[in-house]
Amino acid sequence: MSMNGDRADVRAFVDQVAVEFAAESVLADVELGEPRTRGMRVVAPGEWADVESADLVVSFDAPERERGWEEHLAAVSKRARKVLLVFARNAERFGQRKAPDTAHLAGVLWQLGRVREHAYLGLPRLVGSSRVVHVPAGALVRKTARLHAFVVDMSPRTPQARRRLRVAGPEAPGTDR
Amino acid sequence: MRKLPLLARLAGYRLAHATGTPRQLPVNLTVSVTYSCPSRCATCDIWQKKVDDLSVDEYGRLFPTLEKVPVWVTVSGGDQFIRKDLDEIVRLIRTQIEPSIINIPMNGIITERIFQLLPKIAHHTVGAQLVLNLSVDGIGEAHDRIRGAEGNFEKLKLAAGLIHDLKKTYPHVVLGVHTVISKLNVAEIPNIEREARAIFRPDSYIAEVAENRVELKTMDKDITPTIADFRRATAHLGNVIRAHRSRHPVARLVESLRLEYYELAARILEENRQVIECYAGLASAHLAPDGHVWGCCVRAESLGNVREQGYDFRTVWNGEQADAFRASVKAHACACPLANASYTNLLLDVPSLARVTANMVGLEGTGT
Repeated sequence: MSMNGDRADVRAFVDQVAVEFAAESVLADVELGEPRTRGMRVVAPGEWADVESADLVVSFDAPERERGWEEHLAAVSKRARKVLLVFARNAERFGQRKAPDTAHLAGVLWQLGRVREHAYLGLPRLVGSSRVVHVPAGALVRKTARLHAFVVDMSPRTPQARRRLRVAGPEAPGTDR
Repeated sequence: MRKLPLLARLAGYRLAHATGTPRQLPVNLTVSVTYSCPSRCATCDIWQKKVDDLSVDEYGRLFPTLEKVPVWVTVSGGDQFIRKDLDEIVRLIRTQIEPSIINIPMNGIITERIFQLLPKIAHHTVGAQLVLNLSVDGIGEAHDRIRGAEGNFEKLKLAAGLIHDLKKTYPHVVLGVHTVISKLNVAEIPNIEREARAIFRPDSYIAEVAENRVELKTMDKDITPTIADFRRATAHLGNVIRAHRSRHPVARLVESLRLEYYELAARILEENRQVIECYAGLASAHLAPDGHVWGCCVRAESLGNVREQGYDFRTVWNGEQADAFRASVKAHACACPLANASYTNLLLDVPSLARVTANMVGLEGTGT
């Protein structure tokens, strides 16, 4: 998937999520291009296992590029301390055939963390002037947007889980996410 | 048989009520997966009952024998989230029964388990409507006192937050809030309804009258409000429903049924008789956690146990005990305002169905 026409929208969305989650460090797929967001580092394919974790991790088009993309996203998500941002082809778009359907992708992401938001990007100019449309979105948006972005909150999901991690201390498994 | 249109099936139940044939499986099924519950509600002692719950494997043998007839399945408890395998049970319901609506009433207490299982349940139920009803019997500490569970109200907020996030990913998820109107809270219903709507932002708000049920071990409890108090409470709820109609079709249907139900429940309490015919044991059924099949949970009389019939629901359903129960209900030996069965009864009562339909499409301002 090329993001030629959508690069500005994608970067703006990454910046917005970084601000919302107070992310001071960002890891992103190399497809996102030269780092512009503060604290961002791009990661080449094959390097994910070796990088330090960051507050925000951005994955771009993994379901299309990666064999075993579910496992890849699970591995990438372990680098995210606060939030995982996943961009994928919009499977609901007219004529889109290769992408995994939205429910499948959402099911995988809900197993990694809490999907707080998802949004449609890369809209044809005729559809609207908004760069990002959050759900609930109209049928025209869902059927024409090129990209689908999921914001996955990676913080421990419940007060009990947070308490357990505090008790276990910073060395506990799962604290370095 | 499943492919029979719902209206034809409903006509079949009316015919069976009148003549005894044809025998059909129930269109409305409640599956209680456990009696265990961390709540100690003033209106329910179900937690005292200890039985050997059906396993996932047993459900896997049983559900196919329902022949995909049930359209509405309620997954009830106890607290269903006590069971670590709840997501798997719901998956079997979705794949083996294929109902259009799966309804899960929730007390919201076991937060961590809810956060683990609910996303999986939402995923498994794509293709049906998943109605998640949070039980709210008061606001703040008042709720915790009635439910006998400290901190429960705050936990409900966490569950509601999760459900709102799930709704963004899974449009088939519907958030409801449900209040049991008892002597303990009947005077507060307008306030509970207002606050619950503001705090939980549900797609629908519904209420049911507290009653004596064998299932809940509440036969000796003085919990049912006076008729005058109940009418005051439901008059408020009816007005609110009419003023804030939901746009979601399932939530709107539930609201329309509730408008009819509130009036029906009040009349049943007043007159102590079946105001419209009851189809419990014909069109609606209840599966207890230990495999007993009931016609309804108010009487909780076993029609037989699927464990003793090779997990074949139809064998129990067509047995002599089931026929005796149906004859008893038809003879008006009982009368109750049980909401779940009342829904089916309203759909099978032509004047009520006409009012519900008119209310659904906005042709009628009141359902009563």
